[in-house]
Amino acid sequence: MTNIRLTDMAERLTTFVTSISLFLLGAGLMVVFAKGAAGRKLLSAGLLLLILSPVLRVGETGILFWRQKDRKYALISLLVLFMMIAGYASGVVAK
Amino acid sequence: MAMETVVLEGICGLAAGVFGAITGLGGGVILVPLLVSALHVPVLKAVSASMVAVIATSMGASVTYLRQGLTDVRLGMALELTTVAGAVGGAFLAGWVVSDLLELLFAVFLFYTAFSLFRSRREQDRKGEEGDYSPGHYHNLPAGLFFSGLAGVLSALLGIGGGIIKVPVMHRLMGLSFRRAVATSSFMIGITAAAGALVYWGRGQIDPLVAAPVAIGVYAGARSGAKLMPHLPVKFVRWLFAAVALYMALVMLRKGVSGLL
Repeated sequence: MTNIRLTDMAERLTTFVTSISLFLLGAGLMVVFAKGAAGRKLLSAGLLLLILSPVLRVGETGILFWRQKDRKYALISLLVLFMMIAGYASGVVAK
Repeated sequence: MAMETVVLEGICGLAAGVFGAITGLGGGVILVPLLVSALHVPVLKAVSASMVAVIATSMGASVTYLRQGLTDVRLGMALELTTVAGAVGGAFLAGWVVSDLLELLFAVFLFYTAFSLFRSRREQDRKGEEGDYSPGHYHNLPAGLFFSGLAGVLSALLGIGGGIIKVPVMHRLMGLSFRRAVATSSFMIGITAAAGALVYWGRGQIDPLVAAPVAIGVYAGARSGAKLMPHLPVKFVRWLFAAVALYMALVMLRKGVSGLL
Protein backbone atom coordinates (compact mmCIF):
# COMPACT_ATOMS: atom_id res chain seq x y z
CA MET A 1 0.00 0.00 0.00
CA THR A 2 1.39 3.38 -1.01
CA ASN A 3 -0.40 5.10 1.82
CA ILE A 4 2.59 6.88 3.37
CA ARG A 5 3.65 8.52 0.13
CA LEU A 6 0.07 9.49 -0.56
CA THR A 7 -0.32 11.15 2.83
CA ASP A 8 2.99 12.98 2.43
CA MET A 9 1.63 14.58 -0.70
CA ALA A 10 -1.93 15.03 0.47
CA GLU A 11 -0.97 17.52 3.12
CA ARG A 12 1.02 19.93 1.00
CA LEU A 13 -1.33 22.26 -0.88
CA THR A 14 -4.15 22.08 1.65
CA THR A 15 -1.87 22.94 4.55
CA PHE A 16 -0.54 25.91 2.60
CA VAL A 17 -4.08 27.21 2.02
CA THR A 18 -5.00 26.65 5.67
CA SER A 19 -1.90 28.59 6.76
CA ILE A 20 -2.87 31.48 4.51
CA SER A 21 -6.38 31.49 5.94
CA LEU A 22 -5.02 31.66 9.50
CA PHE A 23 -2.61 34.42 8.51
CA LEU A 24 -5.56 36.39 7.08
CA LEU A 25 -7.54 35.84 10.30
CA GLY A 26 -4.65 37.05 12.45
CA ALA A 27 -3.98 40.06 10.23
CA GLY A 28 -7.71 40.83 10.09
CA LEU A 29 -8.00 40.87 13.89
CA MET A 30 -5.04 43.25 14.17
CA VAL A 31 -6.45 45.57 11.51
CA VAL A 32 -9.86 45.56 13.25
CA PHE A 33 -8.23 46.59 16.53
CA ALA A 34 -6.20 49.26 14.75
CA LYS A 35 -9.58 50.56 13.51
CA GLY A 36 -8.57 49.86 9.93
CA ALA A 37 -11.28 49.63 7.28
CA ALA A 38 -10.16 46.39 5.63
CA GLY A 39 -10.22 44.26 8.81
CA ARG A 40 -13.66 42.73 8.29
CA LYS A 41 -12.85 41.83 4.69
CA LEU A 42 -9.63 40.11 5.72
CA LEU A 43 -11.55 38.14 8.38
CA SER A 44 -14.25 37.11 5.89
CA ALA A 45 -11.71 35.96 3.33
CA GLY A 46 -9.78 34.04 6.00
CA LEU A 47 -12.91 32.27 7.25
CA LEU A 48 -14.01 31.30 3.75
CA LEU A 49 -10.57 29.89 2.93
CA LEU A 50 -10.54 27.92 6.18
CA ILE A 51 -14.00 26.47 5.50
CA LEU A 52 -12.96 25.58 1.94
CA SER A 53 -9.79 23.80 3.10
CA PRO A 54 -11.49 20.41 3.68
CA VAL A 55 -13.23 20.69 0.29
CA LEU A 56 -9.82 21.26 -1.23
CA ARG A 57 -8.37 18.34 0.70
CA VAL A 58 -11.03 15.96 -0.65
CA GLY A 59 -10.42 17.15 -4.22
CA GLU A 60 -6.68 16.91 -3.82
CA THR A 61 -6.85 13.44 -2.29
CA GLY A 62 -9.05 12.35 -5.21
CA ILE A 63 -6.46 13.60 -7.72
CA LEU A 64 -3.69 11.76 -5.87
CA PHE A 65 -5.70 8.52 -5.91
CA TRP A 66 -6.25 9.00 -9.64
CA ARG A 67 -2.53 9.52 -10.24
CA GLN A 68 -1.86 6.31 -8.37
CA LYS A 69 -4.28 4.61 -10.76
CA ASP A 70 -6.57 3.90 -7.82
CA ARG A 71 -9.77 4.52 -9.77
CA LYS A 72 -12.04 3.19 -7.05
CA TYR A 73 -10.89 5.64 -4.39
CA ALA A 74 -10.65 8.50 -6.89
CA LEU A 75 -14.33 7.90 -7.62
CA ILE A 76 -15.17 7.71 -3.91
CA SER A 77 -13.43 11.07 -3.31
CA LEU A 78 -15.26 12.59 -6.26
CA LEU A 79 -18.59 11.38 -4.84
CA VAL A 80 -17.78 12.86 -1.42
CA LEU A 81 -16.87 16.15 -3.10
CA PHE A 82 -20.10 16.09 -5.08
CA MET A 83 -22.19 15.49 -1.96
CA MET A 84 -20.46 18.29 -0.05
CA ILE A 85 -21.34 20.70 -2.86
CA ALA A 86 -24.88 19.30 -3.15
CA GLY A 87 -25.34 19.62 0.62
CA TYR A 88 -24.20 23.22 0.54
CA ALA A 89 -26.44 24.02 -2.43
CA SER A 90 -29.50 22.41 -0.82
CA GLY A 91 -28.80 24.26 2.44
CA VAL A 92 -28.69 27.57 0.62
CA VAL A 93 -31.86 26.81 -1.35
CA ALA A 94 -33.75 25.64 1.75
CA LYS A 95 -33.21 28.90 3.61
CA MET B 1 -15.32 43.96 21.58
CA ALA B 2 -12.42 44.18 23.97
CA MET B 3 -8.98 42.96 23.09
CA GLU B 4 -8.89 40.78 26.24
CA THR B 5 -12.04 38.93 25.14
CA VAL B 6 -10.42 38.07 21.83
CA VAL B 7 -7.29 36.81 23.59
CA LEU B 8 -9.41 34.74 26.00
CA GLU B 9 -11.37 33.28 23.06
CA GLY B 10 -8.06 32.28 21.54
CA ILE B 11 -7.02 30.57 24.78
CA CYS B 12 -10.34 28.66 24.94
CA GLY B 13 -9.65 27.61 21.34
CA LEU B 14 -6.15 26.46 22.25
CA ALA B 15 -7.49 24.20 24.99
CA ALA B 16 -10.24 22.82 22.74
CA GLY B 17 -7.70 22.18 19.98
CA VAL B 18 -5.34 20.14 22.16
CA PHE B 19 -8.27 18.18 23.54
CA GLY B 20 -9.87 17.63 20.12
CA ALA B 21 -6.67 16.37 18.51
CA ILE B 22 -5.98 13.90 21.31
CA THR B 23 -9.49 12.42 21.23
CA GLY B 24 -10.32 12.66 17.52
CA LEU B 25 -13.30 14.87 18.36
CA GLY B 26 -14.12 18.36 17.14
CA GLY B 27 -13.71 19.82 20.60
CA GLY B 28 -17.12 21.55 20.44
CA VAL B 29 -18.18 19.61 23.51
CA ILE B 30 -15.85 21.74 25.63
CA LEU B 31 -15.54 24.82 23.41
CA VAL B 32 -19.23 25.77 23.38
CA PRO B 33 -19.70 25.59 27.20
CA LEU B 34 -16.42 27.50 27.70
CA LEU B 35 -17.41 30.30 25.34
CA VAL B 36 -20.99 30.51 26.62
CA SER B 37 -20.46 30.26 30.38
CA ALA B 38 -17.00 31.79 30.83
CA LEU B 39 -17.03 34.48 28.15
CA HIS B 40 -20.83 35.04 27.79
CA VAL B 41 -20.79 34.52 24.03
CA PRO B 42 -24.37 34.00 22.71
CA VAL B 43 -25.12 30.30 22.05
CA LEU B 44 -25.70 30.63 18.28
CA LYS B 45 -22.39 32.47 17.83
CA ALA B 46 -20.62 29.88 19.95
CA VAL B 47 -22.09 27.01 17.93
CA SER B 48 -21.19 28.54 14.57
CA ALA B 49 -17.69 29.34 15.83
CA SER B 50 -17.45 25.74 17.01
CA MET B 51 -18.22 24.52 13.47
CA VAL B 52 -15.29 26.54 12.17
CA ALA B 53 -13.26 25.21 15.10
CA VAL B 54 -13.98 21.59 14.07
CA ILE B 55 -12.47 22.37 10.67
CA ALA B 56 -9.42 24.02 12.27
CA THR B 57 -9.00 21.03 14.61
CA SER B 58 -9.25 18.60 11.71
CA MET B 59 -6.82 20.49 9.47
CA GLY B 60 -4.32 21.06 12.30
CA ALA B 61 -4.41 17.55 13.75
CA SER B 62 -4.41 15.73 10.43
CA VAL B 63 -1.29 17.55 9.18
CA THR B 64 0.59 15.84 12.00
CA TYR B 65 -1.28 12.53 11.88
CA LEU B 66 -0.79 12.26 8.08
CA ARG B 67 2.93 12.86 8.55
CA GLN B 68 3.09 10.19 11.23
CA GLY B 69 1.28 7.83 8.87
CA LEU B 70 -1.41 7.26 11.50
CA THR B 71 -4.33 8.26 9.27
CA ASP B 72 -6.00 5.64 7.10
CA VAL B 73 -6.88 7.98 4.24
CA ARG B 74 -8.68 5.36 2.14
CA LEU B 75 -10.83 4.15 5.01
CA GLY B 76 -11.57 7.74 6.08
CA MET B 77 -12.68 8.72 2.60
CA ALA B 78 -14.81 5.57 2.21
CA LEU B 79 -16.57 6.22 5.52
CA GLU B 80 -17.06 9.90 4.63
CA LEU B 81 -19.16 8.70 1.69
CA THR B 82 -21.97 7.59 3.99
CA THR B 83 -21.30 10.26 6.64
CA VAL B 84 -21.77 13.16 4.23
CA ALA B 85 -24.76 11.42 2.62
CA GLY B 86 -26.22 10.91 6.10
CA ALA B 87 -25.61 14.53 7.08
CA VAL B 88 -27.24 15.86 3.91
CA GLY B 89 -30.16 13.43 4.25
CA GLY B 90 -30.45 14.15 7.96
CA ALA B 91 -30.91 17.85 7.28
CA PHE B 92 -34.01 16.96 5.26
CA LEU B 93 -35.29 14.62 7.98
CA ALA B 94 -35.11 17.35 10.62
CA GLY B 95 -38.63 18.15 11.75
CA TRP B 96 -39.97 14.71 10.74
CA VAL B 97 -38.17 12.75 13.41
CA VAL B 98 -38.82 12.73 17.15
CA SER B 99 -35.43 13.89 18.41
CA ASP B 100 -36.18 12.95 22.06
CA LEU B 101 -36.21 9.25 21.20
CA LEU B 102 -33.04 9.66 19.16
CA GLU B 103 -31.36 11.38 22.08
CA LEU B 104 -32.29 8.50 24.38
CA LEU B 105 -31.02 5.88 21.91
CA PHE B 106 -27.85 7.88 21.44
CA ALA B 107 -27.43 8.08 25.22
CA VAL B 108 -27.60 4.27 25.38
CA PHE B 109 -24.93 4.00 22.67
CA LEU B 110 -22.71 6.46 24.56
CA PHE B 111 -23.13 4.66 27.89
CA TYR B 112 -22.11 1.44 26.16
CA THR B 113 -19.12 3.17 24.50
CA ALA B 114 -17.93 4.69 27.77
CA PHE B 115 -18.36 1.39 29.59
CA SER B 116 -16.49 -0.64 26.98
CA LEU B 117 -13.62 1.86 26.85
CA PHE B 118 -13.29 2.11 30.63
CA ARG B 119 -13.01 -1.64 30.92
CA SER B 120 -9.33 -2.37 30.75
CA ARG B 121 -8.46 -4.99 28.20
CA ARG B 122 -4.88 -6.05 28.26
CA GLU B 123 -4.83 -7.41 24.73
CA GLN B 124 -6.47 -4.28 23.31
CA ASP B 125 -4.11 -1.99 25.20
CA ARG B 126 -1.17 -3.74 23.66
CA LYS B 127 -2.71 -3.42 20.23
CA GLY B 128 -3.19 0.31 20.77
CA GLU B 129 0.27 0.75 22.22
CA GLU B 130 2.00 -0.69 19.21
CA GLY B 131 -0.39 0.96 16.77
CA ASP B 132 1.49 -0.73 13.96
CA TYR B 133 -1.49 -2.10 12.08
CA SER B 134 -0.80 -0.65 8.69
CA PRO B 135 -3.52 1.23 6.78
CA GLY B 136 -6.04 -1.00 5.09
CA HIS B 137 -6.17 -3.47 7.95
CA TYR B 138 -9.70 -3.46 9.21
CA HIS B 139 -12.83 -5.57 9.01
CA ASN B 140 -16.61 -5.09 9.03
CA LEU B 141 -16.55 -2.39 6.35
CA PRO B 142 -20.32 -2.66 5.62
CA ALA B 143 -21.14 -2.18 9.32
CA GLY B 144 -18.63 0.69 9.49
CA LEU B 145 -20.29 2.35 6.50
CA PHE B 146 -23.69 1.92 8.10
CA PHE B 147 -22.67 3.47 11.42
CA SER B 148 -20.79 6.30 9.70
CA GLY B 149 -23.98 7.09 7.81
CA LEU B 150 -25.83 7.06 11.12
CA ALA B 151 -23.18 9.39 12.56
CA GLY B 152 -23.89 11.78 9.68
CA VAL B 153 -27.65 11.65 10.24
CA LEU B 154 -27.24 12.20 13.98
CA SER B 155 -24.83 15.08 13.47
CA ALA B 156 -27.45 16.82 11.35
CA LEU B 157 -30.38 16.01 13.69
CA LEU B 158 -28.78 16.45 17.10
CA GLY B 159 -26.09 19.00 16.27
CA ILE B 160 -23.24 16.81 17.44
CA GLY B 161 -19.95 16.15 15.70
CA GLY B 162 -19.58 12.63 14.34
CA GLY B 163 -16.28 11.85 16.06
CA ILE B 164 -17.92 10.50 19.19
CA ILE B 165 -19.47 7.74 17.02
CA LYS B 166 -16.66 7.26 14.48
CA VAL B 167 -13.83 6.60 16.93
CA PRO B 168 -15.57 3.77 18.86
CA VAL B 169 -16.96 2.27 15.63
CA MET B 170 -13.53 2.19 13.98
CA HIS B 171 -11.86 0.91 17.13
CA ARG B 172 -14.37 -1.61 18.51
CA LEU B 173 -16.18 -2.72 15.38
CA MET B 174 -13.56 -2.41 12.66
CA GLY B 175 -10.52 -3.35 14.72
CA LEU B 176 -8.35 -0.26 14.23
CA SER B 177 -5.94 0.57 17.03
CA PHE B 178 -7.30 3.37 19.21
CA ARG B 179 -4.66 5.85 18.03
CA ARG B 180 -5.33 5.06 14.37
CA ALA B 181 -9.08 5.48 14.97
CA VAL B 182 -8.43 8.90 16.56
CA ALA B 183 -6.18 10.01 13.68
CA THR B 184 -8.61 8.82 11.00
CA SER B 185 -11.52 10.49 12.79
CA SER B 186 -9.53 13.76 12.92
CA PHE B 187 -9.11 13.55 9.16
CA MET B 188 -12.85 12.95 8.66
CA ILE B 189 -14.54 15.47 10.97
CA GLY B 190 -13.36 18.52 9.02
CA ILE B 191 -14.88 17.14 5.84
CA THR B 192 -18.21 16.56 7.57
CA ALA B 193 -18.20 20.00 9.20
CA ALA B 194 -17.22 21.93 6.06
CA ALA B 195 -20.58 21.47 4.31
CA GLY B 196 -22.44 22.71 7.39
CA ALA B 197 -20.06 25.61 8.00
CA LEU B 198 -20.43 26.79 4.39
CA VAL B 199 -24.17 27.14 4.97
CA TYR B 200 -23.59 29.15 8.17
CA TRP B 201 -21.08 31.33 6.33
CA GLY B 202 -23.50 31.89 3.44
CA ARG B 203 -26.20 33.02 5.88
CA GLY B 204 -23.76 35.36 7.62
CA GLN B 205 -24.24 33.58 10.95
CA ILE B 206 -20.54 33.34 11.76
CA ASP B 207 -19.21 36.19 13.89
CA PRO B 208 -15.59 36.66 12.74
CA LEU B 209 -14.61 38.28 16.03
CA VAL B 210 -15.49 35.03 17.82
CA ALA B 211 -14.60 32.52 15.10
CA ALA B 212 -11.23 34.01 14.08
CA PRO B 213 -9.43 33.98 17.45
CA VAL B 214 -10.98 30.60 18.27
CA ALA B 215 -9.82 29.14 14.94
CA ILE B 216 -6.26 30.41 15.39
CA GLY B 217 -6.10 29.02 18.94
CA VAL B 218 -7.67 25.71 17.93
CA TYR B 219 -5.30 25.19 15.01
CA ALA B 220 -2.22 25.81 17.17
CA GLY B 221 -3.67 23.59 19.91
CA ALA B 222 -4.56 20.79 17.51
CA ARG B 223 -1.09 20.71 15.97
CA SER B 224 0.56 20.42 19.37
CA GLY B 225 -2.10 18.00 20.64
CA ALA B 226 -1.48 15.70 17.69
CA LYS B 227 2.27 15.78 18.34
CA LEU B 228 1.60 14.94 21.98
CA MET B 229 -0.91 12.12 21.41
CA PRO B 230 1.49 9.35 20.26
CA HIS B 231 3.52 9.88 23.45
CA LEU B 232 0.55 9.66 25.80
CA PRO B 233 -0.29 6.26 27.29
CA VAL B 234 -3.08 4.78 25.18
CA LYS B 235 -5.00 4.03 28.35
CA PHE B 236 -5.11 7.75 29.20
CA VAL B 237 -6.33 8.63 25.70
CA ARG B 238 -9.04 5.97 25.90
CA TRP B 239 -10.18 7.04 29.35
CA LEU B 240 -10.31 10.68 28.32
CA PHE B 241 -12.51 9.69 25.40
CA ALA B 242 -14.65 7.49 27.66
CA ALA B 243 -15.12 10.38 30.11
CA VAL B 244 -16.39 12.61 27.28
CA ALA B 245 -18.73 9.84 26.10
CA LEU B 246 -20.10 9.47 29.62
CA TYR B 247 -20.61 13.22 29.97
CA MET B 248 -22.40 13.40 26.59
CA ALA B 249 -24.52 10.37 27.52
CA LEU B 250 -25.76 12.22 30.60
CA VAL B 251 -26.47 15.39 28.60
CA MET B 252 -28.41 13.39 25.97
CA LEU B 253 -30.30 11.47 28.66
CA ARG B 254 -31.34 14.71 30.34
CA LYS B 255 -32.39 16.32 27.06
CA GLY B 256 -34.27 13.22 25.91
CA VAL B 257 -36.11 12.73 29.19
CA SER B 258 -37.03 16.40 29.60
CA GLY B 259 -38.27 16.43 26.00
CA LEU B 260 -40.53 13.41 26.51
CA LEU B 261 -42.02 14.54 29.83
